[in-house]
Amino acid sequence: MPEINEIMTDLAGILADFNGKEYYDPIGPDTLFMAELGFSSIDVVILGETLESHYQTDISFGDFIASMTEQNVQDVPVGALADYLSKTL
Amino acid sequence: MSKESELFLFSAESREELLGTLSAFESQITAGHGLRELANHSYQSAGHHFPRLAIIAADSGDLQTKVSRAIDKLSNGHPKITDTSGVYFTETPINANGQAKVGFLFPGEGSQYPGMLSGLLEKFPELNGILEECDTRNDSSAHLEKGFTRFFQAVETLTTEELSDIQDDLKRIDHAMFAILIADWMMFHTVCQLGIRPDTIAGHSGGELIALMVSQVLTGPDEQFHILCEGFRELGKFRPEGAPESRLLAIGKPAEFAAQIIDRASEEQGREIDAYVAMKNCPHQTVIVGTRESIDLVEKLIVKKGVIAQPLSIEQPYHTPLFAPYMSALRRMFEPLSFHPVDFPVYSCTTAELFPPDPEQIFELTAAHWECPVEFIQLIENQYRDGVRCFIEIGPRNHLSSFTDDILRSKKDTLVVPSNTERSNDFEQLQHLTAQLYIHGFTVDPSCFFDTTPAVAQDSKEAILTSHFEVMEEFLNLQHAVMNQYLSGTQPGPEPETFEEAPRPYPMVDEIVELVGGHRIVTRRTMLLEEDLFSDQHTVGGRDLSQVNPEQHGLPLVPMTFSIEMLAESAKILFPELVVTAMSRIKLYKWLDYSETGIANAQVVAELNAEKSTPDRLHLEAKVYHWKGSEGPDLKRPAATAVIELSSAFPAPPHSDQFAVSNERPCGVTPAQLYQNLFHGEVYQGVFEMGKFGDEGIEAQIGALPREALYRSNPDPKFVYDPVLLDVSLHPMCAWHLEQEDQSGRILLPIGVDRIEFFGNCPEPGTPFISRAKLVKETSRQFTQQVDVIDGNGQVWCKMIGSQYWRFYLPFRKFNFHGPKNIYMLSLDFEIPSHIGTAKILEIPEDLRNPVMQPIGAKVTLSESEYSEFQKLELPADRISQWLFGRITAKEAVREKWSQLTGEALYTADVIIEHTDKGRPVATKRGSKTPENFPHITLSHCGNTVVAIASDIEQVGVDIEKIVPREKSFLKIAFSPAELEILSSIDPEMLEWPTRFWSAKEAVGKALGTGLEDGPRSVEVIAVDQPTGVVTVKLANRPSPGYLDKGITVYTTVSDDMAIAYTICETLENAIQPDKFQYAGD
Repeated sequence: MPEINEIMTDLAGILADFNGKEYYDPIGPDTLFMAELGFSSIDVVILGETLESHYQTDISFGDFIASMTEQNVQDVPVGALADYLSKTL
Repeated sequence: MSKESELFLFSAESREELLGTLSAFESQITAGHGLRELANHSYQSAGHHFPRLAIIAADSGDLQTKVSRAIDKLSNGHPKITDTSGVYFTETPINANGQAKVGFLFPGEGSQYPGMLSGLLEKFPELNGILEECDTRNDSSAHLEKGFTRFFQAVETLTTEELSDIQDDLKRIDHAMFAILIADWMMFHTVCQLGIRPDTIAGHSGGELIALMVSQVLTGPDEQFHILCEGFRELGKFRPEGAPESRLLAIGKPAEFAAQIIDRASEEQGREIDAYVAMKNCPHQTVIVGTRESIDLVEKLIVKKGVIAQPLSIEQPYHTPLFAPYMSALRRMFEPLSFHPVDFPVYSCTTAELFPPDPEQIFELTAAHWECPVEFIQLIENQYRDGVRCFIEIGPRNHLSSFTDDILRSKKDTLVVPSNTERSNDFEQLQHLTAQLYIHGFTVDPSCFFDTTPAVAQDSKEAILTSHFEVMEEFLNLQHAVMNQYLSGTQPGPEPETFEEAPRPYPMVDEIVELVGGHRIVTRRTMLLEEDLFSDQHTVGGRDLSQVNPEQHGLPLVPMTFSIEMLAESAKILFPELVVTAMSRIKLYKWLDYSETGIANAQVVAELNAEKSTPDRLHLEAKVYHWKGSEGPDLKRPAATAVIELSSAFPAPPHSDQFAVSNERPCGVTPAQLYQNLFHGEVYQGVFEMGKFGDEGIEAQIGALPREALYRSNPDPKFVYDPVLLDVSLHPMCAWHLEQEDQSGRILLPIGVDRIEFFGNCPEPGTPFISRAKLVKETSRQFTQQVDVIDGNGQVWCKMIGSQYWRFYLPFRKFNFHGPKNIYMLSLDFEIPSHIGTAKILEIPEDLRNPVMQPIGAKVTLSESEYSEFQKLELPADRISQWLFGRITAKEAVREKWSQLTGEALYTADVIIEHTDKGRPVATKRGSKTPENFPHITLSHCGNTVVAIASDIEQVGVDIEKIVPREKSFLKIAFSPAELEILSSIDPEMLEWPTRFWSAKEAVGKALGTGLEDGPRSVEVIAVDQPTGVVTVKLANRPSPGYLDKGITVYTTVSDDMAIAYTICETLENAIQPDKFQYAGD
C-alpha cells in the first residue's frame, strides 16, 4: 500500500499535465481541483479512470465523489483524494 | 488572478525568431515598463506569421515567470504549450490555411449561476443596456416577480440571503431558461465584439432556442422576448395532472452503459421502468431522467458498480417521453414565435444534422427537441465531419466545452474553448479565448484588450446628435428639423401626411397608408396577376407546359428585384430629395405569390434608424409583408427585410476591375438554351451574348429591356432602378451552372443579398451593359455569388455582393426542372419486356415533397381539373405526395409509350389520369378525344418510390413492396401450405421471395381490376423460375372463365430494397416454357 506522500507525488505528476492542460504551479494537498486546476465534472470522471489505470485496480471513485457530496464539499482539495486513495489502495 | 490581467501577443516566422522576440521582450520587463504599455507594444508588433504565442499575466512578476517558462519550453523543442494559467503556443496552428470552420455552441439550462458575466458589464457597457431593457419589459409586463439584473450582479455585492434567493430562483424553469437565454445572447454579443464569427451554430437543450435566434430563424430576441418570457412562466406553472415527480441523474459513463443499466433495472423489476437516456453529452457523461422511483432503482445499480453518479437539481423530465404531458403547453409557447427559413448552418441537437429549410419543419423539430434525447455526441461528430475545427462555447460555464473536448479526444486538429467559466474572471476568460484563437490563426480582433476607453453606450442618442452637428452642411441637407425632432423627442413627429398630399409616382406603390415625414412610411400595393404582367412572365417551374393550353405556366411570383424596387420606391417617397445608394441584409423569407381566387397584397414598412444614420447616410429598416384575402398583414412574419441607405448623391462609380477567370474557355450554352432552362418570359430575356467563361464565373452582354409589357395599365413605369435589368444581370450565372458537369442541386431560388450598391439612376431601355458574375461560396444547400453590372464606359452601375440562393435537388434530364415539359421527365426508365409495355420508376425527390416546391410540381404537371382536385385534397402529407407523384409517373409512362407508338411528344399536363368507378386508373388525352390505342396504365407506390407501366393491354397490373422480414403470422395468412413449401425450398431464410410472391398477388389483383378482395390466398403462386423471377399464379374460387385452370404469368424483380411485380395476365402457354418451372410438390 503506497504511502500518502507517494500518492501525492503521483497525483502532482498526473495533474501537472492532465487531459490536454498543463499546470505549472506547485500542486500540494491544499490545491483545489476546480478553482485552481480548473477541473470540470468530466475531468473528474476521467481522473477516476486515469487513476485506476495508473494503480491497476478499482478505486471506486464514485464512492469518493459521493462522500465529498455528502460532506457538502464544494471544491475538493487534492489532499482529500490522496487521503482516500491511501485508505483504498 | 485577482488583479486585472493583460494579454500579450507574439508572432514570428520561425521558432528561433520567436525566441529572439521573447528574449528582447524579457529585457523590457526588467527595464520596468508598465504592464499595459508592454501589452500595447506586443499588440502593435504582433503580426500574422506563424508560429504564434500568447500570454495572459496579472503583473510584472507573473509576466516574467511566464515569458521565462515559454522561452524554456521553446528552447527545448516543445511542440505546444497549453498552460491554463495563461501561456499558449503551437507549432501546428489548426487554421493556418484559413479553411477551418468555427462552430458556436450555446448552452441551455444548467449552465446558469449567480453573478454570471458580471465581470463583463463594465468592459462592455452595452450589455447593461440589454439587461435594463429586459428589466424594463419585465416591469411593464410583470412576467417575473423580480428583475433579471440581479442574476448578473457580482456575488460579492450580495447579502447571504440575496444570494440564496437567487440560487433558488435560478432553479425554477422560467427564471433558469430565461436567464440562460439572455446570458447566451449577451455572450454572443460580446464575442462578436471580438470579431469572432461562426461558420456553424448549435445549441444544447434550451440553448437551441438562442441558436435559432442568432441565426435569425427566430427573428431577434427583442421581438420574441415577451413571448418566451410569458411562455416559460406558463410552462413553469404548468403541472400536468397525475404527472409523477421526476429525477435527473448524470452518470460518468456513455449512453450504452446507461441503457444497459436501465434494462437491467427493468429486468429486475419484471417490467419496463420509466427511466430514459435523456442527454448523450459525451463518452464520460450521460444524463438519465425518469420517475423518482425508477431513477432510485437505477442509481442503486450504478452505485454498486462504483460509477460516478450525480443528481441534477432540475425538476422537469426534459428530453424523454415523460415530457409529453408538457408538450401542449410548450407548443402554445412556440406558436406565436416567427420561424423563418434557415440561411445559416444551424445544427439540430435532436437529429444532429442541419435544420431543414422549411419553417414548419423547423418549428416541429424545435418543439420535438423537448421530448427527444439530446444527441450532443453525434452533433459534435457531425460538425467535425463537416469541417468544424474550432468549437467555442457561447454562454456561462464550460459544460459544453468539457463535453466537446471529451468527444473529440482522439482528434489532434481541434480547438475547444469556453468563453466563460464559473471559476475564472469573466474578462480574463475572454483573454484566454482570444489567445487560443490567435495562436491557431482564427479571426479575432483583440483591440478591446488594448484600449482602456469603455465602448460607447448604444442608447446614447446625444452622442449621435453631437456627431451629426459636426458636419453641419450635410446635416442641413438631411432635413435638419426632422432629425432633430426625432432624436430629441419621445413622441412621433408631424402628423401623417394625407393620402392626397403624398406623391404616387411609382409603379410598385398603390397607396401610402402612413407617412411620418423623415421618419416612417407604410406603403401598400394590390397584387393582381392580370395587372402584373411582369409576374405572369416569371413563373417558377417553367413556361412550356402544355400544347392544349399554351397559357399554362408555372407558379407566378414577384421577382426578388421587384421587391427591392418596391423598397426603393417607398424610401424615395419618404425622402424624395435623396437617392438610394445601397441596400443591405436583404433577406427573403417567403415568396410574394398571387391569389388564384381573389387579391393578394404587399405592404412595405420603412423606418429611420437614427442610431445607425450619419449626416451623409441615412439608414432605414424596412420590412415587406404579404397576405391574401382581407385579413391584413401578419406583423410577426415579414416576407422580406432589408436595410436601405440613402444619401444626397450617388458615390462616384468605380471602374470595373479586370475580369479574370481560370481555365477560360467558350461557354457552350447559348442565350436561347439558357432561357429554355429558366422560367422567364420574353420581357426578361435580356442576355444577348455570352462572354468570358471559366471555372469561377462568367461574363455576358445584357441590356435594359423595353418596359411597356410589364404592367397591363402602365406602359411607361417610372422605376427607381430597373428591376428587370437587375434580374437579367443574374441570368449569366445560370448559364455557368448549366455548364457544370454535376447538375445536382442547381435549381436555385434567391433567399437574400448581403449588399447591393447603386452608382446611378434607372437607365433608358436599350442601354447595353455587361454582367460579370463569380461564384463566391458553395455549400450543399447554398450558392453565393457576386455580380457587377457595368455600363458602356466600363464603370460599375450596380454591384451585388453576396447574392445567396437556396439549392433544390431535382433531376436534370436534357433540361433542368424548368425545361419544356414535353421533353423533361422526372422519372427514369424501368426495363421490362417490351410486349408488356413501357415502365417508369420515380424516387420522389425530397425537395419536391416539401410544401414550398410541391405546389410548383403540381402546377406544371397537372391539367386544370387535376390541379383543382389537388388543391382540395385533405390528406396527410405523404398521401398527397403519393397522389401527385403517382400521377406524374403514370403520365410519363404514357408519354414514353405514346412517343414510341406515334412519335408525338406529349406534355405531362396534357395527359389526364382519372379513375373508373372501381378505382382503376385510366389515362386520357387532354383537350381531344382520347384515341382508342391510347395506353392503359397501372401504378403502384411504396414509401417515396413510384412505379408505373403504360401498356397496350388493358389488364395490366404492377405492384411494388419493400422487402422486409415477414412475421410467421403474416406468412400463414398470406400463403397456402403449398406456397410456403415453395418458399422454403427457394428462400429458407424468407428474406426476399415472400415479398415477391405478395407483390405478384397484388399485381394480378390490380390487373384484373378487383384487388385481392377475396383474400390473399385467392391468388396462389404455383410455380417460380428463380433466375428470371417469373412466377405463375392460379386464381382460386374465381368464376372468371378461362383463368381457373390456367396459370397466369407474373414477372418479379428486385430494385434496391423493393420487390416489383407486373403482369398483363398472360396465360402459361403464352409465357415462358413450362419445363423451367418449379412446381409445388416437386
